Parts: sequence; C-alpha cells; structure tokens
Amino acid sequence: MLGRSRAKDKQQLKQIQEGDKDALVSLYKDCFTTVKNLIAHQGGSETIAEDVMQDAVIAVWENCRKADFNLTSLLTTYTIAIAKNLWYKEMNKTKRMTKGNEEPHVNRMVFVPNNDAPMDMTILKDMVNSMGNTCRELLVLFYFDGLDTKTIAKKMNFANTNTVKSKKYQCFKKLQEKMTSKFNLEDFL
Amino acid sequence: MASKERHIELFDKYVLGTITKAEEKEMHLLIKNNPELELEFKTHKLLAEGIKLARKEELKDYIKEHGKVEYFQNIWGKKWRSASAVIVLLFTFSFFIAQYLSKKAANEMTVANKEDVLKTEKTKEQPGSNPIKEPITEESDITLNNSGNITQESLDYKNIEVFEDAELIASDAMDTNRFVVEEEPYFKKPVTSNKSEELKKEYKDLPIAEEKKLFDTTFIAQVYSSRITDKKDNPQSEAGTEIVQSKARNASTKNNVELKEKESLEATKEQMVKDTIDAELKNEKDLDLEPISIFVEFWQSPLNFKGYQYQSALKLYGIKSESISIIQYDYILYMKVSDQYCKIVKSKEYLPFKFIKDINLIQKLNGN
Repeated sequence: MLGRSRAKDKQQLKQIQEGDKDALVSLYKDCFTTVKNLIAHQGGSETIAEDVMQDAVIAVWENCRKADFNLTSLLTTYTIAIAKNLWYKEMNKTKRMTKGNEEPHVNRMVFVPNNDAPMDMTILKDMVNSMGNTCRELLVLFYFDGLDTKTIAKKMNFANTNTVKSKKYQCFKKLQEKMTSKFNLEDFL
Repeated sequence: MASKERHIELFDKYVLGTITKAEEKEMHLLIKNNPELELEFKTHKLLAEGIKLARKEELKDYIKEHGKVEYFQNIWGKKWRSASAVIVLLFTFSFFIAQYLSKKAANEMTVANKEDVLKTEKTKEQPGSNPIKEPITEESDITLNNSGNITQESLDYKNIEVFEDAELIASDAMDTNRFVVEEEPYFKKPVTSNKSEELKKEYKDLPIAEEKKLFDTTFIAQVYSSRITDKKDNPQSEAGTEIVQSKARNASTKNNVELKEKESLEATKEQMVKDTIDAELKNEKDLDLEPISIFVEFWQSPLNFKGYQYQSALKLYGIKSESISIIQYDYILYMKVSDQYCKIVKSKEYLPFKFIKDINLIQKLNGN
C-alpha cells in the first residue's frame, strides 16, 4: 500500500467500473492485511476479516458505478473505510445481540453475514442462478451493475437498446413467473 | 401497453436509485390508487434484490477463489531487500569490530607479559635475592654455555619439578615467580614445555646463575658383604674383606691433586691387589668382592642444594671432600659423612642425602 500512486488508483477504479473482477480481487488483496490487523486487534478472526473485506469491495464495486460517484481519497483508503464501517456495524449488532448475556466479551463476537434479506431471498437467488446465462447476465448487468441499455447492448452484442429492453422485460417476466408459480408474494414479505 | 412500460421504467429507476423526485411522486400516486400495481411494484423490487444477491454471491465466490493473500509474495520487494541489506551490513560491521577488539586485547596482554618478565629478571639480579636456576627448559639437545647461553651439559642439573600447570605458566610469558621449586626432592623431573624453542629465544640473553664444579677425584670404595660378615669368626676372611681404606680417597685427581697423592694411590692400589689375591686364595667365594673405583665430582649449587646424582660419575652437591668415604655393602653403595651413612642410588635424578637410621646396618658398615 505504501507508495501507491494515484495513477494506479485511477486505473484500478476504471477497471472496476468496467466490470473487471480481477481489479476487484487486486483491491481486496491490497487492503486485506490492514483490515485483518484492525479486526484482529479488536478480537475478530481472519475469517471475519475475509467476510468484511468481501462485503467492502462489493460495496466499492456497486458505489463506483453510480453516476454521482466522486473519489476524493485513495481507493484503498476508501475501501478500508468501508470495511471499518462494516466491521463496527457488525460489532454493534453483535453487542446488541449479546447484551442479555453476562459476558459480552469481544473475543466471543461472531460475524453475522450481512443477510438483511429474509431467508427466502436465497430461494430467489437460486432462481436467478437457474436462469439461462444470457438472461441472468442481462438482469445482473442491469440491476446490479447499473449499466444502461446502450452499454449492455454493446457488451452483450445486442443489436440496439430496444432489443436489450425487450429481452430484459422477457427475462424479468420469466423470473417473476417462476417465483409466482411456486410462491406467493406474501411468503417473501 | 405504453403505461405498463412506463410503470416498469419507474420501478427500475426506483430500484436502481436513479429516480427523480418528480418521478417518485408520480410513482407513489400510481401505486396509491392501484393496489394491483402496488403488488407488482413489490414483486419487482423483490426480484431485483434477488438478482443483486445472486451477483454479490457470485463476486464473493470469485474473490474467495482468487483473493488469497500470500504474505511472502513480495519477498524480493524493495522493503525486504533494504532490510536484509541493512542486517547483513550490521553483522559484517560488528564482526570486524569484534575481531579488531580481540586483536587489540591480545597485543596488550603480550606487552604486559613481556613487561612482567623484565621486572622479574630485574628483581632476580638484585643482591640477596634467592637465585633461581634459569632457564627452565625441557630435557633435549639444548645447550648453555658459561656466558649465559644454554649448554647440553648444564641441562643435566636443570631439572626442576613443574606441576600440572607448568605448561600454562610457561606459556604465560614465563612469569618465573610462579614456578614452584621444592627443596626436597629438588630435581625431581625434567621440566617439560611445549614452547621450549620460544623459551630458548626468550632467555638467550638473560644472565644465568650457574652451578660450579669445584673439583673431581676418584674414590675407592670399601667393599663388604653380609656373607663375609657372617664369617666374622674367621679372622683371615675378615681381613680379606677390607680391601681398601677410606684414606685412599683423594688418591688421584685430575685437576688439583698433587703428585704425592698419586703415588700414595698407586701404593694403595698395589696393596689392594695384593690383599685381594690373598683373599682369593683363602676363600674362593669372595672373588666377586672386588674394589670399586668411583669417579666423584664435587659441585656447588647456587641454591645451596645438598644431594647427589649418580650415573657414570657421582656428583656431590654441598659437601666437603675431606669428610667422606664410600663403602659398598651387599652391592649397595653407602657414603659415610662424619659418622653418618647415606645410601647412594644410581639415578638420573638429583636426590637429597638420606641418612640411614638402621642401627644394625650402621654397625655392619662400621665393621662391627
């Protein structure tokens, strides 16, 4: 991390924005030791550090694609800050959970993965994964990566934006049907 | 159809977070007035979350697979290289410093030891101080001459007892004050040293207190035998046993004895031969009792040592020539020194006089 140049930062950021997974892995490696030491110093284990860091780089992945994203510090500093916040959030959550116990010792803290979504969301995730590659990729690019139809058309070799729109509608409808055929909406709410 | 497309567009913008306030207001109004649309919106939102979750899991798996941190991957990085270079430099520097210091200490020790030796020699030269035989060398081909150099001859009496730490002392630049010289036995065993050559060099130019040979002479020993003594009843045989009288001492000299003494010795010899023949004729058993001539040297030791060494010649230290006579009894030599007898044993070593206390033996030696 020492001597990390702004140029490298910009390049890495650009790669992430373009959807390069390897750039994300590189960022993860750059920040992991610092985050691991921080978490270990506060009673967390290496496994917890790994989970926190994974969530942090995914947050960076999501954030850097937003239109209003403006990086004012080093990318690593930004990532570590996110990891810290995630870790403190989890610590507070664990403290609240162990408040009833007599010994809320920091060493007993267990990282609870960021599964705010109810358990049924994993069913939805499996449904998405069971879809065809094109549909799945198209939906992911649109809803997770936040790419516009023009970029998706270019990336997925579609003829134009309308094709992307109609294809996306079809895929989404397909997923919806899959869900409604097996479950009611109330099951997820 | 167009309205449905608009609804989906609004829902997507809301899910992606790109919806404007006006669009948001519009969407809320639509949902509020249409419960079916509200349900559709909720489903849309739920499915979008499912898609996001699927993507997150996929990315996590990818990171887990490829993001293993190897802590020693940059072992040849700048930091590691600089750190190892600094460590190597430090070790090298400290090694040379330690070597330099040890050499310096060794030199200082050598100088100090040399000074000690010089001081010791100075104190030796002072009058009144007990002279010590120097140099102490191992029994070898070393020689000392009168000018202070080592000669082979003088080595014969330069045997000083050195105890277990002799080598240590000898190597310790010869601090002679540390040598232990016992009066009895005085010359027990030769000095052994691994550094004889060094000692020779060190002591080559030093003054040495030497022994003095006073004079030498030949003694004819009186010969007795216990067999003969038993036959004391026979006056003839008794007469035959006493072959030579102690007066025969100083019969001949090499250096200082006068001609008269030579003549008397010859006469004594003739008498002795005559008596011997008579004895042989009278008693054949006493044929082995022949007179013994012993070459005796009188020496003076700078340490006032009193004793003897008997090999080919008998060397006597600290004793006057007038007061002695030599007797052989049962093939053992005895020296009579003013009514006292001491046994003389053949040995390379320098032995002190051990006077006999056995009264019977003394009586027999006296001829009673």
